[in-house]
Amino acid sequence: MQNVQAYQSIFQSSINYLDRLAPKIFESISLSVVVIFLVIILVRLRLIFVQYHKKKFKQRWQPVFLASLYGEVELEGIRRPFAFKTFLHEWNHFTFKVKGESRVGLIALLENMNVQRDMEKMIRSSHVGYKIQALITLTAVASEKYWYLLEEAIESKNPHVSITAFGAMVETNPLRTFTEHSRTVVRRRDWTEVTLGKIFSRVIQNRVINLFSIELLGADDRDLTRLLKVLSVFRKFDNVEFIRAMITDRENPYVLAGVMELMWNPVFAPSLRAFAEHDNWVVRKQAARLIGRLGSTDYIPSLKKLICDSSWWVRYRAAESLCTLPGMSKEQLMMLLDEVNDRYGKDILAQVMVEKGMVS
Amino acid sequence: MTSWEVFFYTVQIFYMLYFFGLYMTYLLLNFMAVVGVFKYMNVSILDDIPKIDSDLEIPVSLLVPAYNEELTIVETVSSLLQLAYSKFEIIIINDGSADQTLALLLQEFDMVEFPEAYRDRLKTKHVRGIYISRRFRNVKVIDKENGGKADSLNAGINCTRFPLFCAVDADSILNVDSLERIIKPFYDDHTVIASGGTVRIANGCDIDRGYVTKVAMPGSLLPIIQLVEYLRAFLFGRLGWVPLNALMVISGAFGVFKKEVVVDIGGYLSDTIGEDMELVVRMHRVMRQKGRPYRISFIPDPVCWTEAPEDLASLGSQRVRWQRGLCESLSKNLSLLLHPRGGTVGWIAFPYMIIFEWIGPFIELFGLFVLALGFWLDLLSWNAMLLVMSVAIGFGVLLSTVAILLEEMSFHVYKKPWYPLVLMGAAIIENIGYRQLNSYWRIKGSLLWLFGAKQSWGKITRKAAWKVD
Repeated sequence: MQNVQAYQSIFQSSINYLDRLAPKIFESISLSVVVIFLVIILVRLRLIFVQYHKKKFKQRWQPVFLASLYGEVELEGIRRPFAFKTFLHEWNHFTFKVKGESRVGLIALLENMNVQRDMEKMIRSSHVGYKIQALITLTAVASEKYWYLLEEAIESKNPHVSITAFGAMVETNPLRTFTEHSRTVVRRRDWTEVTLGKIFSRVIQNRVINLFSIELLGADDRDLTRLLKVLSVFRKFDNVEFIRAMITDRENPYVLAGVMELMWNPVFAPSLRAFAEHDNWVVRKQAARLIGRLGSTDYIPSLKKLICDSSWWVRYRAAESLCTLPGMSKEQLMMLLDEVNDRYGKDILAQVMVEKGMVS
Repeated sequence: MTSWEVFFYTVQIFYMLYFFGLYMTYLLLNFMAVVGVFKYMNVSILDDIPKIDSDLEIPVSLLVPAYNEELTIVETVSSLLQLAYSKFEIIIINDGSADQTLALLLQEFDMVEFPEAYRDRLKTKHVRGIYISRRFRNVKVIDKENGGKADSLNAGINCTRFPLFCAVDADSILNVDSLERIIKPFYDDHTVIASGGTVRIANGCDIDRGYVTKVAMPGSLLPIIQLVEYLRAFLFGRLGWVPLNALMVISGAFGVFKKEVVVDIGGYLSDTIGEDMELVVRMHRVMRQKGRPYRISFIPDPVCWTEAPEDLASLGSQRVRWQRGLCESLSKNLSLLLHPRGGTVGWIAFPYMIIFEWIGPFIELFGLFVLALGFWLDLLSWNAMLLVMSVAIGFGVLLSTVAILLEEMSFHVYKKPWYPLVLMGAAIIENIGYRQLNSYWRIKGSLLWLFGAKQSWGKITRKAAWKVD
């Protein structure tokens, strides 16, 4: 009986507590809704103001930017704008639309405003957006004067910040960048291949890329798989020793496939036989593709075998190579189509012949 | 204390705990979504750099299942062809349409039969033929026997060349850069196996050649309420789960998946209605149970626009279908619940889905019944009843308000000065009638799932106003 009474009293007190709490909850919810709504109104008003300000800003600065392109601006008469970040945003937009020497006037306009301290502040701030904005500006400026800031930014833990700094370095001095930071590229696994590829595609010196490939010789298979793809963006890559060292020392199929992507030189044709018979389909696929690329007619028997491979992709690439090899006429391919006994091989060859427009 | 009183007060405490749990989860999701959006906006400044292709972009196959889509299919494909992405193919799967869908495609894109070496990796209904466009070599059509959306997607997967595929509804409207944006998570993290994006409502917007050219508010109340609902669902309901790697839904209207993972787990299940959610939940289950590292990602950008139903009948049928999809997805993957390797999905998201989304409508209905009973038995005063209702409604309005604020501070898609007022109004009005109707449809969906009613493509009445114009 006593237990029941104790239960009832706990029960009653908790209910009373909840009853007292509910109005307070409602009050605070209502207050929060009103406050947030007011914030929404403020945000909206601010936005209207910012849009108006931006419009005025554009009207004021666009003619100056245009005049700077032709070096027709009296720099001494131009003052640093109060809304500097807005200015920088507009400047970045405008500058990336022009290339080469056309940028000189625009850069002079910016330098005239003593931006070094602003760049320091922005890159050292905790705001990722500001850091990136400053780095985009430094990419366009491409001056070694700011190298120390790029050195700081490349060490950022944020991959977007550090890779943007790397891009700015490459734009500024590719040789110095790859001499000092090839190891950083290998180390930073958080840098995306696509962004690296975009940066690498701007490098035109063989010497620079060779510096990077030397660093790759010591990289592990995981990094190699990632970075060989990036290297393949550089179409002129022709470091025969590097490729030889890779195909001799490495066994990982993904590394081998990556190295094969770099083979444009016919000196590698003899090594294709082993690749065409490799256990891993990824290597066989790449071998089939490479035979077509190097135009090695000696390998027609290998390709005939590969179009009956167990992997769809190997069959497809082999059929593609067969159709593009020099000296393979439509008649020869039609004969081959009759000869192939394997159903899958026949299907894929027929498909690729239609794709290549050899039959309708 | 009478036994009625004990029952009534026990139920009251249960509901207090239930709503406390629900609202705390919402607050947590809100917080994580807000942090996520601001982080995302910080790096969006990188879009200022001119875009160049590195040739390392991952090629994507766009899969467009179509069933009786003669009204919009040509325009959809034309708009997909204009997507800003370096390498993609479009595969339209005609699921035995009874209208002119196939004929229109063949004629408009100058299609010819193609001897595709079709890989039968996922079992589907019979494929009658594959066609390729002579004008656009990256456009193909698969003509197959009717088997449903999931079956069509599986046939599309069998025909894809590329490592990623993107499922797109035939009536989805994308932005030119939608594909480029939704692919980004795959570049940033190699363990990403699926990525989704925010879907917005296209009603009221100006659409030209398959693209949204001017964003505006819908003209009637029902789509406006859905607009607020979508804001809440996508900005919080999805983005909030991403940091926990526990996102369980990627919209079937626009989502990208790693093909090999999907093939490994058996593709889409053709006996489900909510094939999009089921696939994502199954991906979680298999990856977790096998202990493989993975991430399912989501971007907050508005990347896809869809026409919302404007009448109650269509809306009801859509919501019933969604609820059935949810029930199927959870019941088919129940082994993930509290699985030792289940992680945040098995221990937080899955129980949340079961308690608040699956059986939640029943609990809410029972709550309303008990409130009425308490009032009738004189255990509850008018004031107390109003208070309970007000707290529930107030919290709903609060969540919507935060979603509107987040939208204002980030993407700011709805530009007219009075739009926030309209959205706020809708956030309040939806609590009177709309929420209750939604609960009713969800209960109906759960019951239909329970009693195994027949599935269908679940068409809703679309006006396709831009097409008619």
